[in-house]
Amino acid sequence: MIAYILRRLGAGALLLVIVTLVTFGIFYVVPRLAGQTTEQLATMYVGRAPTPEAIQATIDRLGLDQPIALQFWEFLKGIFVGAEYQFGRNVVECSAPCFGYSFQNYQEVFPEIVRRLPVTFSLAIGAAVIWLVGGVTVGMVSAIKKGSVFDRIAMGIALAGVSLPVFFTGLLALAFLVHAWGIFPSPGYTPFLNNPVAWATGLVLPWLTLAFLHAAMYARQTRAGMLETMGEDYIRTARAKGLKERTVVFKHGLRPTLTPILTIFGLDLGLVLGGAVLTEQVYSLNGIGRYAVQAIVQSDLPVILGVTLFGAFFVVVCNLIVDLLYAWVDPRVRVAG
Amino acid sequence: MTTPGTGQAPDTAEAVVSVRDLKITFPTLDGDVHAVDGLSFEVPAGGALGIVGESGSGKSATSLALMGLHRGTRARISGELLVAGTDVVTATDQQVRAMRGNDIAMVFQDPMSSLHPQYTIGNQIVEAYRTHHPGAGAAEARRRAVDALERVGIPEAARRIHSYPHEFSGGMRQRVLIAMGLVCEPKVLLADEPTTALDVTVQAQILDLLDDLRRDLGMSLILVSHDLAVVAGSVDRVLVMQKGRAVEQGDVRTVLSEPEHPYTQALLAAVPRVEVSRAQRRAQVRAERAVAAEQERAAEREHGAEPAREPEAAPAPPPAAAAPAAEAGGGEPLLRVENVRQRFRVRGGMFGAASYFYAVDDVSFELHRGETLGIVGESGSGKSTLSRMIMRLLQPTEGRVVFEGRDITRLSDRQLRPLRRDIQMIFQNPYSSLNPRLTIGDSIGTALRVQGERNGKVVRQRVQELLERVGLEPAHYNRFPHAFSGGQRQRIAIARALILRPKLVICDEPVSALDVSTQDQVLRLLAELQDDFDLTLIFVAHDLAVVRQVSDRVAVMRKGRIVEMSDGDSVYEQPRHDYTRQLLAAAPVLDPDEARRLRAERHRLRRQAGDNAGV
Repeated sequence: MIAYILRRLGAGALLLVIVTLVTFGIFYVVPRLAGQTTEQLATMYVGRAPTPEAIQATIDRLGLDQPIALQFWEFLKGIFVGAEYQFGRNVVECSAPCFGYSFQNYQEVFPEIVRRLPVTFSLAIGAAVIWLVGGVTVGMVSAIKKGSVFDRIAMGIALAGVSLPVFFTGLLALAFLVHAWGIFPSPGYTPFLNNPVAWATGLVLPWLTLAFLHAAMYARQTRAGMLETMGEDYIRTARAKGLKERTVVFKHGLRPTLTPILTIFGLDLGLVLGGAVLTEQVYSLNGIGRYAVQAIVQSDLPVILGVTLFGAFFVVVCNLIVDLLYAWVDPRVRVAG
Repeated sequence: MTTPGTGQAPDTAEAVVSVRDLKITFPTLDGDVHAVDGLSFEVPAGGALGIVGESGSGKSATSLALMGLHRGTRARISGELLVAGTDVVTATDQQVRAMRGNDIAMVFQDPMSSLHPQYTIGNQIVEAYRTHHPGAGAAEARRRAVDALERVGIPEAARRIHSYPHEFSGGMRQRVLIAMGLVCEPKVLLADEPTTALDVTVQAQILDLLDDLRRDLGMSLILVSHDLAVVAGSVDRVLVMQKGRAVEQGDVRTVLSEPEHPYTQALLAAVPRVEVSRAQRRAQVRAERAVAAEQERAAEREHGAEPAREPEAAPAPPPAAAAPAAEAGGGEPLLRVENVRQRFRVRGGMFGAASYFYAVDDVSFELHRGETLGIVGESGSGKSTLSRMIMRLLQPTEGRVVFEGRDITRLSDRQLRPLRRDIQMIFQNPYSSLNPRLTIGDSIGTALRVQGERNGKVVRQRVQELLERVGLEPAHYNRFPHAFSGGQRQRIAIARALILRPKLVICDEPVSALDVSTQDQVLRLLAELQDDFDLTLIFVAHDLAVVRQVSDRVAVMRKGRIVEMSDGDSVYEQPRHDYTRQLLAAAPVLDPDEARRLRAERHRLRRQAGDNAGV
């Protein structure tokens, strides 16, 4: 078991290094392969006034004329020990972990991400709870009452949920549920510690919108998985023992069904923690996703790069947790590892 | 008829299970299917009944109905089904639940999939006990579970109770399932094909165990199987089912020695017998073939213009091949296997340290043209690995494989390609070895195309000829595998192997997934084809009787080595190795008295082994 955990941890760390390498490659190497000169590349990092002097200063500052390997090394070093940037006589420090420095806003990226973290976390975790509980429950009931009216309606809604993008459902919800009918309060973020009630009421609609999309997928997955599991031989064995149908379903049927769902849950949660771009944008929640959108609009490359890395970090960590949970949920994994 | 204790009171008083005029109907799109149609039988307390029939005969539907497991499905059920006083047809769900596990416990066919993979066996057994004894504490339930596991012969039960199903072998899992059935001390144990998925020796152990339990605990036993030989030694009465009806029912000795119904007779004739030698079997098959051919010719003469069936055209043995077949034994062997070993890496232990084991360890033999070599062994004996090495699907770690005087051990995939034409394989499971999305014509014809035949018409014609030769219709060319039964699929697999006119065919358990009577047909077909196509066969199986009937020579494998190899009859009549004797003692036989004698012999061998281990 310990060997399994260590192996997984090692794999997770390796994956993070590879992700960093690839992300770095996308921003620093691919543009060159596409024919961009060092000057053109530097323009992207220069800030608001791309004078030739400024460009040259940026090249020096970022070491863009250095060999790629050296640049990557500096980049990695920045993450672990921090970096310093020269602006004329001023030295700007980007303390560790330095995920980059926005030359447009003269801000370090990491503190900006951390500042927005509570918003994204509140949104992601609240929505995740709703979609997991809601999706699995609906999926189970659908599977048990296969072919019933409930099943048909639920699966119809689920199909809609899978196919409707957030900017559609979100805008509709805003227009009708908030503005026209006033059922929900205006969405917004209040820190939990300031006022838990306002925190929850402000986030209800974003939670539901984000959860709807995922819950639909989870309901379909759960239903399919449950139907398959209930056809297994060991379910017949459980019934042959004389167990109550409730025990058969919840003890014997649910666990194998949830095992694969755990995997997608890890991925989804990781993705959303790295920024629920559409939901945050639609409801003007100032989270990591919105930060990324703003950076994209402004072509603020260091921010985009920082957010990307940060998102990747969450996906890797969530997957790692899922892998470890897996060993607990499914004893066969412990041996196979 | 819902009131037990009126008309049939005297019977039901002593019968634990009483079935009267049971009908089970499955509504389908093509109308109702009557899986069981008017079945009646009784099992007295402490008695044992065998239910025998082919797949589709309704025997499994019957056993599921006895457990009330048809509830919640589309099956419609009528008649009277009394199990320990509960009428399963009319009882409430709650009554049926109280009956399941407590009055009647079931052991299923596939121990691999019948235990929940994510709970410990202890958890699953305790659960069965506490369902029916809600007042019992955790400690008592656990003690009961350990007792039951010890009773079925799980060593170190108190420790193993914390193990998960995947940590047990197939036989051990079946024991666990039996223990789970026993824990509430039911009046009836219902075993549906309990040994079909198991090796011969394990099968014998499980059957012995069931027999012991029945005697010691005074349980009734219902043993359901497709194989008469499996039930012969374990039951008092036997019921033969065909198409949902009981065609014959009676004392096991009477039914087996003087079967009245033609179906029972056919079923008995199909059971492969370990005591029948290859020569006898061949003579019998040849004679029957001659008679059939004669009848066919007579029929053709009568109806002058009988459609153009050309039984002689299709086989058309390659003329050159006949000569070397004649001088079998002399000259260069077709295949020479020299000291091959196959090493596999096993991961495990701390930090995934690897260890190695030899699946095949120093095996050598020669095979001459036209000969059939039978390889017998249990799962894990390395017989499949060996056949894969000969096919060169695996590269031997050491040793040489020489085919037609040419060393093929280290040939590259590219160099092997022409060789694939000469060595073909027939696999065990006809359900999963055919691509469900290809028509059988494509499945069979692909090999021809791969080997360079471009003319679609030629491919089609040759495939259709061959389909006819293996006993299918040429019109089946465009059908998909799901439209065929297991036996027919295996015929398709045979056709696929033969389309390239190979010299050597390796049959890896070709009939072990089939019913006894289908087995017999497929074996006959293989024998015919061997003559017609001048094939050299390697026949891998765990069933001793089947191997004896088809093989000139037999090799017995155990733990990667050949422990005994000689011509077929002497392996069976004068076995030299202990393991061979064990295997022979484990083979199911049709004569109930002989079966009892073998059971005693097995007890003796086991005690001996136990004593030896103790010393």
